Amino acid sequence: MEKMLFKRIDVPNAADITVAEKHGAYSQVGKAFGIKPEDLVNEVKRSGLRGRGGAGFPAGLKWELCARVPGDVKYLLCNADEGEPGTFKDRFILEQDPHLLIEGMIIAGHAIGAQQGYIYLRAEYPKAAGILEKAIEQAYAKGFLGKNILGKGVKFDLSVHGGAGAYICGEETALIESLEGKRGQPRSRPPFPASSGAWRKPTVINNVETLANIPFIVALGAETYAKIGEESAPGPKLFAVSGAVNNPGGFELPMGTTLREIIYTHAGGIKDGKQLKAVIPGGASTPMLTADHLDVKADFNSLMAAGSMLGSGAVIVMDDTACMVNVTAVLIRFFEHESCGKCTPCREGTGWLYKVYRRILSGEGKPDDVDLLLSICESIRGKCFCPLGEGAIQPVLSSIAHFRSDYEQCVNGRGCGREEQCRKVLH
Amino acid sequence: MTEQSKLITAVIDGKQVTVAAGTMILKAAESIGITIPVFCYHPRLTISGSCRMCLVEIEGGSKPVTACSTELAAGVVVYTNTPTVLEARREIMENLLINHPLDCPVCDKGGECLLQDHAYDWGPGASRFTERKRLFRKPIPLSDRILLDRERCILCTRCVRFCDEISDHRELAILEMGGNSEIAVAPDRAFDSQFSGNTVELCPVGALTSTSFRFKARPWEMARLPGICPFCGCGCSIDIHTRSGNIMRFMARENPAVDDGWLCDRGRYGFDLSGGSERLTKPLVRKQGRLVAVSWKEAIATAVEKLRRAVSQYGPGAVGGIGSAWSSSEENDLLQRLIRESLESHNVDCSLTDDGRPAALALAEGLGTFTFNDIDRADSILMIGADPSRYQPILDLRLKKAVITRRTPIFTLASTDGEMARYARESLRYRAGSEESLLRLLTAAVKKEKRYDSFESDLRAGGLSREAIDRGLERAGLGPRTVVLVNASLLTDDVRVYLVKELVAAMGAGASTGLLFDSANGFGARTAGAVPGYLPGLRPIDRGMSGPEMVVAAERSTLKALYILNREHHDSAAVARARRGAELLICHALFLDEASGSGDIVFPAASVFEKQGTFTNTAGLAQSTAPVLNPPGEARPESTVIEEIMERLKQ
Repeated sequence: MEKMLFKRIDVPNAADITVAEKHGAYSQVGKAFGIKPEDLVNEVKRSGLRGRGGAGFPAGLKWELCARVPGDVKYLLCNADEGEPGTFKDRFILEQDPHLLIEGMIIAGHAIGAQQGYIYLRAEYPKAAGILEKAIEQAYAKGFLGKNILGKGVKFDLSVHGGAGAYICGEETALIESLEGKRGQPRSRPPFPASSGAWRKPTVINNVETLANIPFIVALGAETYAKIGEESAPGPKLFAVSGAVNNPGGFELPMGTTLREIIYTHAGGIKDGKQLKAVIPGGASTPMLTADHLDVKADFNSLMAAGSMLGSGAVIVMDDTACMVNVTAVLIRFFEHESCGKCTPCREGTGWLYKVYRRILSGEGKPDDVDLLLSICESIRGKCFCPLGEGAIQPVLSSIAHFRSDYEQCVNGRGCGREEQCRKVLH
Repeated sequence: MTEQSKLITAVIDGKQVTVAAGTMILKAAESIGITIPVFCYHPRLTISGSCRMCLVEIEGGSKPVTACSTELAAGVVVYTNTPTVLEARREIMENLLINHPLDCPVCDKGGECLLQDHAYDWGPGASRFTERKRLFRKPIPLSDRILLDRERCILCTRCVRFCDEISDHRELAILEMGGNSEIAVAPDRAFDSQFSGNTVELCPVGALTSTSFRFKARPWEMARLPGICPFCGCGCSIDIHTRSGNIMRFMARENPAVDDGWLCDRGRYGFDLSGGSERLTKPLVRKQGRLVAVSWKEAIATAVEKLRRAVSQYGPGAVGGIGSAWSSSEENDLLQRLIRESLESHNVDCSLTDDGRPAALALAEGLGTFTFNDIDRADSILMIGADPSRYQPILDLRLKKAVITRRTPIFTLASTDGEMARYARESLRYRAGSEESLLRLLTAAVKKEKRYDSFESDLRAGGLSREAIDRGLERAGLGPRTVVLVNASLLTDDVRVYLVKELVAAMGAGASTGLLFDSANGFGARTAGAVPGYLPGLRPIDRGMSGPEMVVAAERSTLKALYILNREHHDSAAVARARRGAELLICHALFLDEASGSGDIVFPAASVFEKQGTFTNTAGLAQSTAPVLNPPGEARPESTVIEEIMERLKQ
């Protein structure tokens, strides 16, 4: 497949607008402006594009919900708070091809009737911040942003808003709270952002990769675009592969590429000739799978059917030397630390899970602990304010489902010979 | 029909329920007598949805939903008592308690704690948590009045929301995140709101406690009696909690016509003023220059004899009586009857330092008709010299509610800084003393009259101009339901009263006027007739001396006898001045201090909590209180003493 999202990724200095334009950046803005906003929304609906942030919500439908709400003031937010452990796909675009994102946002703004956009950028991407700021400045200078874009009377202003390092701010309503200068905690839904989002105005929030797809939908037309990848989720997909592979990194592949192809063909297979033990297909909050699942296609529906999720497309690979108690403990430490504290089950439950893991890893595990962990997960499941708590229990549930023997080795006092190493994991 | 008023029908626990569209499941359930346990939800705060205690099941739903924040949809079937719901409650309770210290035996909240009650009703009974609990240093002071125990806190944020949404002082915040979250005074702020005590009452657990109540009593040991807060002109409803003859605390008792269920700290923590061991417990009569304790029989006989002698020797005009704007209407009524009927004098007032008549004239002229609920409906609010944030605090909350929830425009005119100026569309300062000019200009501006030159110089000295007034009126936008709030103490003469009347008349028929009294019964003392020139019911009568005039006359010995209803309610210096020339000074007093000690006869009085009485608040609402304590020793309610004196004077 010819690269789209990563088309300019290997072009030296593509973050510079002159270089980017030479390689096609902003070529679709004029065409998009010639299309009526409602037709543009329909085009995206027909393309079948589903959100790339994790939930896979149809992008066109999201736009339509917002575009339909009456009102002069609307906002377009780009979720660049790429905080899901294992995920680094958006970073390639942010740092190496920022103009692709900006072009997508200009077109999206036109479609939904937003004249102001914000890129909510995670605090841990300071390099991207500088690159984005500069790219936006260049886009203003060239007339792609501002009061009268391309002399067509379209107005769109764009700026970068830096996060402060909280995972929860990747959740769209917490992102909005944070953007408004408040404590980053999720809001009650309804109302949904499409009708009442940033500053209570109709708002669309799209992931970086979702917006980066927009210029290609305009360029190719919905029909041609929809032929890429899977029918249920067309388009290219970015995968960020990390862990025990020979060639970790970011890959643009058609949606629906199998896990086996991603790991063995593109990421170079398992390091040091070892065997794959587990794979997390879509970031830390998606359930782990095993070597038995390698032929599952990496798309929303197929992974769902296999008991996991596509999530952000962050593929984390573990080899057969990995202890899954150990791995899960590290993930739980992350979720316990990042729970915002708003709702009871997530705040207290993740803390409890973490304390049990700590105890198990310190050699104080008891046979009942495995069932206790499952029961704590039950007390969180379906009861939280936002998806964070739900995501936090996935590694626990899936690791126990697939690798219960790892746990039993720990809690039954039989030992595995690597206790010293475990004790150092959580200190 | 609007979206809001549309009715929908659904089923909760097998019972059909019909409510307005948009009603949350929790409220709908409540309306048919089904209680769903909550922690973070509070009817007067915005919905948080964070504690998750109120999870219920909707038939066909994928997972339980929070009843507090989920609208009841037409036709749905809701269950609040399925095994899934009960299991969810058990799980939420277990999670809430894993870090809780479970120190109920030493916790002030024990016995009236939602966490304790829900743990009994819905909790798992035993915890499976064997790890180390989260520990905090405790308690830590949030202010001089309020302490925080972070280990007991369940982070429901009721306190934070109160400060954000109701007092709008925004002093509290959550610091840190996740399991380390804690309530704290926001960085660079102090928790010095005059409404801070409400957070203690809102706290569903023992996290926030009042220093004044900490370790003082258990809830079940106290008697709870309804009362009216006596500490300002608002008259908020309270529950008075007593134990062994002592007041332990005040709690709010919601009255939508006055307080919306809130109290200010002056009211909530003010009860200490009534206590103390130094109370006067026996009647005192001056003999050979010294006050000596005597029997009630002797004290009353002495008073009767001396009053009778004063009248017969110097004439009724040489006798005067001072009621009190802090005493009940019944007491003021008796005082004026003693002076007018028994002693046939016209010298009656309710203050030694201010003439009580002009405000009574204002009431007689039909001003002072507003109710607190008028604020909720007002088109706009014009405030003249009023500072409710300081003197009528609960009114401050009501005004803020109007501004925050309805964007009601306010125009303030004041001679000093007041918090409400921050909420006003326009706020202007005038120079104290220029009120008359201000009222004339304001009326001219409302009537759009051009003639105002004659007093412009007076205004300019105060920094005011016609343009500024016009702008303020324009921005506030006068409407048929404008409320005018006037500081009653600005009404120092009849001219000002008629100017206010003219101003309000110029605004049209629907405008209502509030006279803001800072005292508990400034309104009622006047309608009870304890002012020059007015009988009870504001019926006119010959005008005698005002309070200040009586002080001057007494000092010059033209007034010979002065009867003071309650010494503590009056300025000590004024009492001392009157003492200098008066032959006879009779007073009721709670304490023996220099001023009461200068009396010739001193009756030990009952405090406001020790007697029955009616108080009319600044919005004209008359409310009666019943005694919650017994007077100490031989102290007696003033009314019984005056009645006895009147009876004896007839003989």
